[in-house]
Amino acid sequence: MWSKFPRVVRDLARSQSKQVQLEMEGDETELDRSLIEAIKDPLTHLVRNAIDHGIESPNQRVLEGKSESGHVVLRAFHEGGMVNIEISDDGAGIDPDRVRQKSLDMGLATRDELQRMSSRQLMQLIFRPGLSTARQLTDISGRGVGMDVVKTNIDRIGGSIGIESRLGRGTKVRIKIPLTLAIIPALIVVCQGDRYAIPQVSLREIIPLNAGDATRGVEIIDKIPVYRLRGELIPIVRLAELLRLPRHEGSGLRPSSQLVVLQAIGRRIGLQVDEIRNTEEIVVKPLHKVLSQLEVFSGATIMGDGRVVLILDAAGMTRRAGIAERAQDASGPPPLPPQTPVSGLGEVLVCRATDMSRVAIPLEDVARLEQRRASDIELASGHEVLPYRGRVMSLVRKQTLAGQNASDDGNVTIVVHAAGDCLVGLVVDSVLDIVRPAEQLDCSQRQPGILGRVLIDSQITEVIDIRELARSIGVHLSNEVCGGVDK
Amino acid sequence: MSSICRCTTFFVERLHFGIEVERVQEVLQPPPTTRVPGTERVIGGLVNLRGQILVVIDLRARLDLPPRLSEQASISLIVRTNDGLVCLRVDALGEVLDYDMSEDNGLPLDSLPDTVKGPMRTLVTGIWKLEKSLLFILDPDRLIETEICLT
Repeated sequence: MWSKFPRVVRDLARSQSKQVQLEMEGDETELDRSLIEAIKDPLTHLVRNAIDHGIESPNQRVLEGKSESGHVVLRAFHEGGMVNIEISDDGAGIDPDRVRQKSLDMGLATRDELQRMSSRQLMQLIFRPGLSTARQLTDISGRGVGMDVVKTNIDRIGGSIGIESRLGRGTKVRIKIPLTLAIIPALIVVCQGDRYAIPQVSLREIIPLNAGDATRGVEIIDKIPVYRLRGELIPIVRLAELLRLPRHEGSGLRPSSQLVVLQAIGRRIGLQVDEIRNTEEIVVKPLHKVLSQLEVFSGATIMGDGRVVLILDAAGMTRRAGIAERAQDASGPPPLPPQTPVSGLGEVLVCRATDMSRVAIPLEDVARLEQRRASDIELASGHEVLPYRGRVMSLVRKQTLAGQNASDDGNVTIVVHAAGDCLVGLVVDSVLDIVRPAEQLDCSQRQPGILGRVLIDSQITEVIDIRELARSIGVHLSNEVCGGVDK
Repeated sequence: MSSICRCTTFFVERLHFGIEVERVQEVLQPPPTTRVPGTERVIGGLVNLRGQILVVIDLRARLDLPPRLSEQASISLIVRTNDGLVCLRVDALGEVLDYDMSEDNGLPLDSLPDTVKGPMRTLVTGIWKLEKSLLFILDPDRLIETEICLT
């Protein structure tokens, strides 16, 4: 999303003999392509403003006790159902007196009104047509058109824009765009022949319930099924019943089904569905006003085949299942030990590596898990790669001294790690568990690509550093090197 | 103000209905629908109209008429309402009719007799007496109402 800005900033800074450092955060925040088109020009305009009006010349900055080079920061993140974009600089800021004077000259407000305005209201006047506080016109900005056009563009896509500024300290522009037009990763499940999408934010894990071992892990409490998952009891809710779908033939006697463990409003539920399809990036579209009152759906999306699929709302489903909200421990399951783990590790994904040893990878390094056949892996310049969603993903394995690569015939699981646009996959034999290690991480014998060792279930498990493993095959996971794909 | 009222007309059972032609964006074969659990049968599902997701209103269900047999043909009208586009499913399309209001001395349409209750009451804004039948003019903004849509 930021890919073109380094150039804009560099060119502009050079032409004005200013020194500007650009920082970009949240490049992976994804937006609908049409939205990106709509905000491209406003964003460019704001970045130009920041450099042209905001950042002072190096001499001026030194006089004011600032570093010679100015900073422009672009941030994008999801919050409160909105995509937030911030453009801030540590430049000269906007002089409120000049805004007052200009507004007065242009008759936008009376002296009285201006005196009563809060600084926030005053700053909003910037968005009125014709108002510019620049003393000098350049070919880039200061012509008084622009901020009103920026606001019009943001308004048109249902967003809002605000500005705050401190004289001599800098300016920050905040843009909020509704997330209903955003792209989110979702799991597609099937229930009675219909597909539904579950946002991955609320997804914890998937447990197959096969007819053979249907009773394994499932306990019945007063006719209500619960699943015993690593010492935690998770209520099982059947999606068909929750949606009050009419019973159709053979329901309840399915040969196999899947339990999708969701977390919302601080609780976990196991949602029983017929089938798991795949994960997909979906564009969230709002439902008609009347249907938005159905708490179990948060929207709908259009699939590749043109059909509409409803998006399930984990919080709404939990509530409909009659499970009360739990305000606390919204971030973790209740039975976890309350003390901070001594290992210094958060939750880790425990896997069996392809050499059959046990490895773990910090959960925050895991973007996705993919089941593939080992024969899908191809070789390119001596490295393993995998065609993945129209791109090529480099693969790494835990380096083994013994070199006894085991089952190369069957299936493998690819633990996908994403850094910006860059993907790298760790090939493992299978996924075993997700745990929060209680033991100390032992870093005494460091090996390349291995953070250290830790005891999990009294078995030695090596914790993988996927970035270092990637470096060992020449893949550098930093945005500067592999960015550039226009999002 | 023009005295001509132009209507797109269509049939459900043997009833003849009309909607002001400006409110009908297009007519198409029923697209594949996705059912929405937890709604009454008046909500026929969701359809994809060139990337926009629309609610399907089945006029039979809206009028409490028996459901359409599965082999029975139907057609979809994309109708503009206050709350955006809606896909209205009917049995068959009729002609576009022009109604000259000036002929009737400023009394353009009959109103629904008071004895008619039920869903017609809220939906029909006027009755146009054609030679062989009655044409009921519908108010598209009344097609979707919360209380009749959710179970």
